[in-house]
Amino acid sequence: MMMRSAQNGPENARPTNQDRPGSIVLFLFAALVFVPSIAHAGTGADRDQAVSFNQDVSPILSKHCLECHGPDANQRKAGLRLDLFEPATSPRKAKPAAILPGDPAASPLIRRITSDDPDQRMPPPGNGTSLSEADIATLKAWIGQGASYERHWAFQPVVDPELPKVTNRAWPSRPMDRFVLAKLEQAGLEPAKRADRRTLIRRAYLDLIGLPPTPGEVAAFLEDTSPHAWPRVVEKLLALPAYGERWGRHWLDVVRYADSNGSDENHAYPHAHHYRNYVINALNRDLPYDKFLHEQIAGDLLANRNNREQIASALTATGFLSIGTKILAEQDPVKKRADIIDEQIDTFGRAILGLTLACARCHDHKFDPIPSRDYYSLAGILHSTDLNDRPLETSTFLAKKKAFEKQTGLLKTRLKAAEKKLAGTVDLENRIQWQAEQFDRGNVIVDNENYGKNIGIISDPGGQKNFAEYDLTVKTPGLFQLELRYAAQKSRPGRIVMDGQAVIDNAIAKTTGGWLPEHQQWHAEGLLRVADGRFTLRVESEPMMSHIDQMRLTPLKGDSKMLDTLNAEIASLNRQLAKKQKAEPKPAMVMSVKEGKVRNVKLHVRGSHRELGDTIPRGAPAGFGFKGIPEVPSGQSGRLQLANWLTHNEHPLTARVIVNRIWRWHFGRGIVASPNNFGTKGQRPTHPGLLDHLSRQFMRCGWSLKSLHREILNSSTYRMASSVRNAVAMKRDPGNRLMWKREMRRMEAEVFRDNLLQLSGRLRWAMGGGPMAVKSQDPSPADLANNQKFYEQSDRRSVYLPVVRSNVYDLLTLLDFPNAAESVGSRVTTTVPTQALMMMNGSFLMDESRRVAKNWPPHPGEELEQSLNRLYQAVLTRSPTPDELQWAARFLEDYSAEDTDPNRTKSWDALCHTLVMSNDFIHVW
Amino acid sequence: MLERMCLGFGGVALHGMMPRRANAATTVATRSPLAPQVPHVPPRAKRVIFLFMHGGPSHVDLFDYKPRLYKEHDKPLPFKEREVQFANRANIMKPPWDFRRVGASGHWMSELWEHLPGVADDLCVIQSVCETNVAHGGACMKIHCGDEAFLRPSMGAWVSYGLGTENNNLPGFITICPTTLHGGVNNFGAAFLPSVHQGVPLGAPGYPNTLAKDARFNYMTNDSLSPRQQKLQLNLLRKLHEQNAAHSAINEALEARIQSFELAFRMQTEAPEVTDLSGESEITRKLYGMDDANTENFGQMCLLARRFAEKGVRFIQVSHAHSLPFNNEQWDQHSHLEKGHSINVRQIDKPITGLIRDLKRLGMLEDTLVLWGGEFGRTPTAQAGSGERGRDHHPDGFTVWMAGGGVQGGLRYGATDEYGYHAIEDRMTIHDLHATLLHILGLDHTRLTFEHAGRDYRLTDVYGEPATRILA
Repeated sequence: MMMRSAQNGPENARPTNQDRPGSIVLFLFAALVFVPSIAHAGTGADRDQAVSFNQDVSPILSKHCLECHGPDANQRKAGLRLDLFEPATSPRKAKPAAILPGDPAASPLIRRITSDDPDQRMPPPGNGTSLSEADIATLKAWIGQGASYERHWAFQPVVDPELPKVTNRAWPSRPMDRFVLAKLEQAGLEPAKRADRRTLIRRAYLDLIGLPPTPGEVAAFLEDTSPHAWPRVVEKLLALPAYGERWGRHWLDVVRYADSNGSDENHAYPHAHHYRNYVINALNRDLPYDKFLHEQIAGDLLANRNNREQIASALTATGFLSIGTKILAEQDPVKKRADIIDEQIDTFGRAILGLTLACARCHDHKFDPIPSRDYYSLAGILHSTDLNDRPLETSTFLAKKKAFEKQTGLLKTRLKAAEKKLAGTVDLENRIQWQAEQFDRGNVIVDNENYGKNIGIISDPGGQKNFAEYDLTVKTPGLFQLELRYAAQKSRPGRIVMDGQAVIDNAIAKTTGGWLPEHQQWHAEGLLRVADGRFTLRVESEPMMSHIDQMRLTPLKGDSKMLDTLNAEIASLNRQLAKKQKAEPKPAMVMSVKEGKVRNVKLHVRGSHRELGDTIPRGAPAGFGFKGIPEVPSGQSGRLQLANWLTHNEHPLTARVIVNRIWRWHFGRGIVASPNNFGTKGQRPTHPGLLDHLSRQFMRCGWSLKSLHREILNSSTYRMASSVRNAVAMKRDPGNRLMWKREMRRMEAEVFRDNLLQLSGRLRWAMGGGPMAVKSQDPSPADLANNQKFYEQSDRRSVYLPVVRSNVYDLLTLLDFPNAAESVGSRVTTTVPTQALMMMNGSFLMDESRRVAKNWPPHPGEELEQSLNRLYQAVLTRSPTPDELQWAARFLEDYSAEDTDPNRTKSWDALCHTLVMSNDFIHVW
Repeated sequence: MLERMCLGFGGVALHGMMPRRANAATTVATRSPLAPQVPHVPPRAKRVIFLFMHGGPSHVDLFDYKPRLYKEHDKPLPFKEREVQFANRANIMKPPWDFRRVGASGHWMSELWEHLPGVADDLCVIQSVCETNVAHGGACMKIHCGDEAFLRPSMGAWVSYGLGTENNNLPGFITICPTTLHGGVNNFGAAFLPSVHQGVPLGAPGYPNTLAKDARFNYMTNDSLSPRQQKLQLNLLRKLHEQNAAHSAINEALEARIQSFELAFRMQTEAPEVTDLSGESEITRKLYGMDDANTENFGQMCLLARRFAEKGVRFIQVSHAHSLPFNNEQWDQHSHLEKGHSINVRQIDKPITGLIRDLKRLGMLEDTLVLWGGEFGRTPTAQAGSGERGRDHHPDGFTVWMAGGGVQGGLRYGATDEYGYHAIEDRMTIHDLHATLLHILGLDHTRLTFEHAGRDYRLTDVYGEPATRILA
């Protein structure tokens, strides 16, 4: 692990003593890495100070020791286990205890980690890990102080901590500020001054709704001098639908949302967008987070729903379990299922619990108390749950359906009566029946092996105009009923032609549930008038043909005039019905789950579905110490119980994980810098008290996300300035772990694009949105060019752009849109020259800049200063400095001097283009 | 500005003396993820050209001579076939071609090959590749990324991560005219590795894939602004930035961003020069078959690969991945085996032979590993069904070959059984193949790790053993 932070994101960031402010490195196509230095709060503990197991010791053990001496019994070396007090301090067989509490010098562990003998030295040389002097000192100090173990911090109950005492009583605006301030005061640091009001309003808008304030909104805020001006802005923004679009997108990162599969096959997920819309809507109405989770895990099972809209909404929510990437062409169905479930468990674990549960698929987790049994208890729940697409029966849909049924009901009744009458006239004795493959002429294929096994069928050999002709003879001319026996999973309509005349349109159009012999069914296609005893019947379809097995003609007996009338009536009714049915209301479909065949699964030894161990009862992970699920009733998958377990008020993880996420999205770094990993390999919280304080408060406020936003936005911590000089703080805490200032951040990809569209006047603000309009499966270069055009021409907010997994719109990808194959808790920020190339040369940037220029043009007759002022206000929410005025004027002049080609970009356009590429624009201060 | 960059880079290179491995206790402060790395073990090769044959070339028709298939033509296999199959299979089918021994080494090749026998003694033919998925998607992802079910970094990305680049003006990993089928861009993706290591496509990825003559890097030109005008833009960007730097704490991320623009500007002029073939002689063009409509496209791709290799790109993939009128994927002859494989071999035979000869001529073959292969082989049995006959996917024993890069030319490594079905001798799983490839590049596959989602990931998962016997 040599790269960290800026590249890998905090998931992988680990404070180590080599993290120092570094030089900047450049290369082509390459990331420009900025590795911020990190304050070593808590690491390399001073020998005189009390050592905290959780803060100081556990990270060292996790990193260097537990792979061989941890919870995984199969991998354990020398029978030594170091993650628990008992085994670490007890003699093993003939060997003394590794740790002798209070006596570091005599402890074999210390001897081994300090030994000069390469055969004795731990960790063994060459295994890629070694302890630093500071690590060794910490371990010595810890053993000297009694080697006390604690349960891993994240698995301890969330207790409301007392508010810390602070000296500067004036600074805190909210209780949470005292946690931040107390740490700063301990370190002898001061918080940064409050940011200026222009910076603040821009920050709030970009953070909460992802769009910039208009010049008018800025002016109104600047004029409002009341102390309520700021809370009012916060309230206003939280109430805007754009809030859900902005913050829903954050959640979509966590749940690896996409509109296509993106694995070996990249088929579209045409119904996935309902889940996206659900998330946006849930956030806008501040659906309590516990309910939000309930719906996503078990929305299909929730009782006491009093209206159909709620049922539909909760059903849509279960898309959480079904929108993942799947290996679609896997030929081994058992492995396929196990891999799909593994993906679900991985997402569930990281997204909701902040645990890497999927590590326990093949062995007990090496670092966290997650035995393989826990994995398979969850797997049992998911094996008892089926993925499926389901219709949304909203009341609107049902009303439409009812009206439709009323309209068609009458026709159906009449048709039924006519058909009944007809049924009385069939002459079974003179029926003629033949095999479809006995055609006289035709270009169809005959299949006796696969789809036609034992029965023989005809079908198409690939797309073409298919036909098969049969020369037939009947004893007595007259009216006949034609029936075909065929199998069709999808409708492949064709027509019936008799002696060159089309007699039945929309024939062979039914579906039967599959293509195989067991799906074969007889269908009445219509009536034929046979005038001559010999005739040719032709069956046609294009481009594909259903799998046709047999055909038969049954004469009708009775008065020919009556039969003609009957025939005409049936034909007419069928026509009318077919016409009506085109307008049949179709329900929206969602990707969801339902209860499947309930079963417990066996432990898969080393993750292999071919080597099975004990049967594991369905349940929630219990190894980390929080009570599990008592017992799942025999007829239920256990999802309902799992959802209840997750949102129990005493659950140590659920609230902490989401509170930390919200913090991460507001500040750029979580209190725990690895939002998806709260395990022992994850980061320790910089402010554990703050996290618990907010988590308790969050639960007290009914798991309301908007309340949490309010608390944070109204704090002094949130409102600190980012561009401050503080030499002392820079020296003591260059990584700003203690939050002595606001951290400046680059806009996320979507914010950048949405802002650009807003400035260019092209953003169409509409909620919701339909399915993918781009091609994902096997696109050609032309398809990809069309996709690109679609993205570039779209005037919708970025959250509504289709996410084609592994082929996301490159503007977004280049600006670090996450890989939607897995849960992402913390986006990275990379700086690569390809970003710069896209900005300098990409047609989207060029076109939008031109529109920005057109939207904020110089007015005839006014001073340049006025024009520039208007433009800067719009783009940067501030006036240009005198220097900037001068530079811009100079730029326009120099640029125009180069402007010899009338087809080229004009100077004002080029200035706008430069401004939207600038650091000032793309960063939130 | 440029001087500063050069200095910065050189300075960093001095620090870059530690191999990448799990939890390495390094004293390096900060450096480019693409800075050259010192390998774990002495490297045989500095770079790889992977000639990927999409669809699954038939080992029993090309390299793996099995007399029994001729003798027992149309008889059933004497043992049970694998449980999980892709299509239904019928009886044994003899290859439509004869085999002969070629070169001093006596490699077996079918008579389909006209040119390749000329470099036979440079080839190390590995006939025991096995343990991959039976469907294209899983198998493509496995051979590229080491896993058939989950999205993992491509081997090119691992190589870029493990070795850095020798030329900052180009990506560390380039894929020429890639396909979007069967894992598509995942097959050259970086997954959880820093995105800088992902393969950069030359030519839009697509199905069918872009023709070599149309292949360009993206965003490399601007028709609306002259270079001088762009330079004015960049100057203004820098001024605006430095003004901020003057009144706030200097933020290195901001400076880095401005520098990336300046670098991009330089790149615009330099990168296209590598793809400009106008300086190549007529003799060279002919060597790659660029004078023949059958070989022109693949020949151009191979020549581009050589040019990238010359410029220090670490991993170059060339995909033979067009569709044929009767098959969706180039080598996927479920039917029309005779016709399909004839066309395919004709398209690549001369260009790859030319590539090996050209690398040799330039003295580059010794430190360039050429790897030829598809995602799996094809069954010794025919596929059930009527019409022009073909073979199903075969993941249990098939052939790839290597050339250059310190491997033993003329060596045959591993073997399948008498029917070309199971790899039985010196089995080379995909993990072993990856371990071997990394080993040749000087990387220990157990130490080339990246920590992600709570664990250290490797290209080889927890498997793999390098086949060191193939090294010269």
